[in-house]
Amino acid sequence: MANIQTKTRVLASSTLAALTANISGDLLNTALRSEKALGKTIKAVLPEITSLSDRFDLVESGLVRVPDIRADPSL
Amino acid sequence: MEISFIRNNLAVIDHIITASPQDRGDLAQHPASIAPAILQALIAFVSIARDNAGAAGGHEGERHLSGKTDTSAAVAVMSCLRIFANMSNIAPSWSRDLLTTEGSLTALARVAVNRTTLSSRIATAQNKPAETADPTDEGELLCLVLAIITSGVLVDENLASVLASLSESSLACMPFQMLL
Repeated sequence: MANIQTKTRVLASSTLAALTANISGDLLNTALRSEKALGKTIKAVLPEITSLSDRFDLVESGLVRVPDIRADPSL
Repeated sequence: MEISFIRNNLAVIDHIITASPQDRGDLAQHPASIAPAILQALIAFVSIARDNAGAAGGHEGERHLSGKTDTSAAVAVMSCLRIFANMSNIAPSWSRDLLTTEGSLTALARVAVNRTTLSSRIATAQNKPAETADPTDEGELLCLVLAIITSGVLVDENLASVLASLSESSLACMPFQMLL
């Protein structure tokens, strides 16, 4: 179930990314503004960024992987 | 956690704030909660994007993520920089919160130093020849970094002092010397 949810979320984000890349101006405002897309997008992505950044020693070097990232099939 | 999910959402944020002044204004109200998070993403994505380049850092066995992950990360780096440049330009608080976050200047310097690798990954993502870095993308990466830092210096003169105090070896890239 979790895997299906992940794939659905990725599909939804891909669709939205493709839409925003191909429409602009008033149409984009009409399509996205009414749905508060910016707030929802930020709310969706911030926990994922936190999850990603937890795997890196960001301050000291920014390059060192903390856990063994190769063992994570989601990457 | 999916790299592509983060990449797509950052692209959406980039597109929305570029197209919508109202959304840009809304986002300008929340620098403290969002700018550091996107900076963390930038640092992680630069690391992932250069992972297969054989550059210094990391163990040999850690440099073999899939090409798709590399390219997704490089595209996400561009989105992060565009968001920062856009927001820093209109909201001084964004610029201040971003550049006073620990690791920000190092992260931007790392983008400038690795811009050839990053643009090569972006070219791959766009189905261009993988071995050919697009000079347009290289130039855009560098311009975005300089735009972000310039906005910061205009907002906070202390940042200029911080930049001036950094040693040449720690920066190791011409753009920062040009800036000073």
